[in-house]
Amino acid sequence: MMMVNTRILTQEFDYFVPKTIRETVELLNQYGQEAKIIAGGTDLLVQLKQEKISPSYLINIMKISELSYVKEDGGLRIGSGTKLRDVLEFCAKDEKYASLYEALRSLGKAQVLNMGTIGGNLCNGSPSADTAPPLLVFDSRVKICSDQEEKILDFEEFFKGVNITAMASNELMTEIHIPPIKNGTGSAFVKIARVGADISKITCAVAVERHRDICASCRIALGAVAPVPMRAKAAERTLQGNKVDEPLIEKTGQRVAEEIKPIDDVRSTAEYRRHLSPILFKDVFWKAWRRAGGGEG
Amino acid sequence: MPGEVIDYSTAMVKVNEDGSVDCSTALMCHGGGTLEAGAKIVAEEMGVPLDKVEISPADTRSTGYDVCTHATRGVYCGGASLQKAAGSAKKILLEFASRLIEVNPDALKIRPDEEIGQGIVYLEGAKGKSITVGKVAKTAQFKGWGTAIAVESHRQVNCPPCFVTNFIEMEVDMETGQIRPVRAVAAVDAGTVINPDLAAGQLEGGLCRGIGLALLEDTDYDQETGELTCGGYLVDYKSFTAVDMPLVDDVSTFFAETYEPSGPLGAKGVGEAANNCTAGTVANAIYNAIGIRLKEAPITPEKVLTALKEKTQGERR
Repeated sequence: MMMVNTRILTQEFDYFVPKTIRETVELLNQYGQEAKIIAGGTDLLVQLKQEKISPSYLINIMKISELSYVKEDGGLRIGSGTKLRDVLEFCAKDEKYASLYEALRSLGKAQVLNMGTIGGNLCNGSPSADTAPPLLVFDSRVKICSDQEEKILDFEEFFKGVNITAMASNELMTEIHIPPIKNGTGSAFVKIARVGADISKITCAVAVERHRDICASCRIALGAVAPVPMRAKAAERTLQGNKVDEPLIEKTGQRVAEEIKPIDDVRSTAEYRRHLSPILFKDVFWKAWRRAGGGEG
Repeated sequence: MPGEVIDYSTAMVKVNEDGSVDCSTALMCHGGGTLEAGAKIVAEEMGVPLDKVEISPADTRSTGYDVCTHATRGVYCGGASLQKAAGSAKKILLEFASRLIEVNPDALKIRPDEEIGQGIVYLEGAKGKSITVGKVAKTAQFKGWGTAIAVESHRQVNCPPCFVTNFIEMEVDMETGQIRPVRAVAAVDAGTVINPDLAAGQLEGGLCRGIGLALLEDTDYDQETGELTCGGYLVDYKSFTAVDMPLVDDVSTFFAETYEPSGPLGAKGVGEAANNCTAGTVANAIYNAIGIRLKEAPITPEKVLTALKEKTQGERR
């Protein structure tokens, strides 16, 4: 590894500041392969300064007002260019979105929340993207635009590998859509990291639909324990339609530990992550379960 | 008892015609208030209000030899040289004053006068036998007597230890191995404490850095390539910040009321003493919490968990 001077940007690139989605996708169509989109820059600037990437073109999408919104319209719709701070403040008002709120709270401190965007957190393609597990448990979809078409993708299909997403180089993510959340659903998110403001060692999100003491349905997602943020589907099936009690949650936790594929890295070890996953799951599940209400609890 | 330490500082102090006092020192402030302490020492020694004392911007060309602010010597040795230079400049000033108000200079004193906003040279008990510091300096200037200025080097032959003690309550999550500092107390014997708020801040900073040393900070190298695993980037060299510390109300600091005869106004330093004992205290607290003696810093959740597993396996055998 060669050390680089991270105080300066040594690379030359052309810089565009489009005002509309249309303009952006035209630019992407022309320069896609060699271009990078910059929004808050909290990930991209670090990569540029470390010389991990060297795009010939930077397209800044922060001046596109039509990308910045949070609104309830057939569920929750979030423009991809919305600042993390704005999403956080919206989610703080409604316990329905508890797991997304908790993920945003954990994501970083003031600087990252004020600069970073939700689209940026996802499009970076990081397995530890904190907003990914809550969006997975909410069965979200993302809207992706290119010069030719606009398509809706299940969020589960979005991550393809470490720093790889389903998006082609001529495409722009424009919206994240959380479908209406059923009554009796509770959600939660917990992150374990080295220090308060850090990338996670492991994250877990749960959304559970509860009919009294029966788990009608449950979605479990984890971050930083596989090449992509992942659903733990075998664990979910253990719960589906069953009466919830301690032994069942214990068993589900073991399933979670079996399903993940963690590695050793600078933040933690595979062994520790595997050990932590059922413990974290149990914490998050019971939190979500209590929030779901739906009977004695 | 005279020691073997060779430690010296150099300072310049001069009195201006408006009663203000300029000082030059090679000391710098790391955030512990070293220069503020230097100004307080000069104000006290000279007998002028603190706001009349200014520490000048300095560089190597305008200062004498000094080993600057480090360890526990900034206030102790650097402050002592400022005190000595202030004393010498004062002596010159009083000699000038004695000519003006016709009093033996040894009988003259200076006290700060808040109303006039500067120091007043006076003879104890004699009304009328007084004159402002500024007027003395100005008269000396136009009469061609010179400036009340002094440069002094001061050698401290000892560096008296600054004693610090920590009490830290740690919470260990037996399932995840995560460790959290809950409450902490830090107490210091730094002789006369010249900047109480900043000295308390140094103790709190020492706690934060020391807890980080015990639990987190590490330069881990790849066994094969010899490269730092954090890549040399601070984004992956983590250190604790305020959010990782005990709440403000759960950290207390105390000063032992002592007087160090060789220090300026009885002062010693704080410096690195603020975190000398912290990592050990943390390790002791963890031992008291889980009954396992972890000897290798940083004590990470991963290491705690491995140790807990080994202990349970050992007990089962």
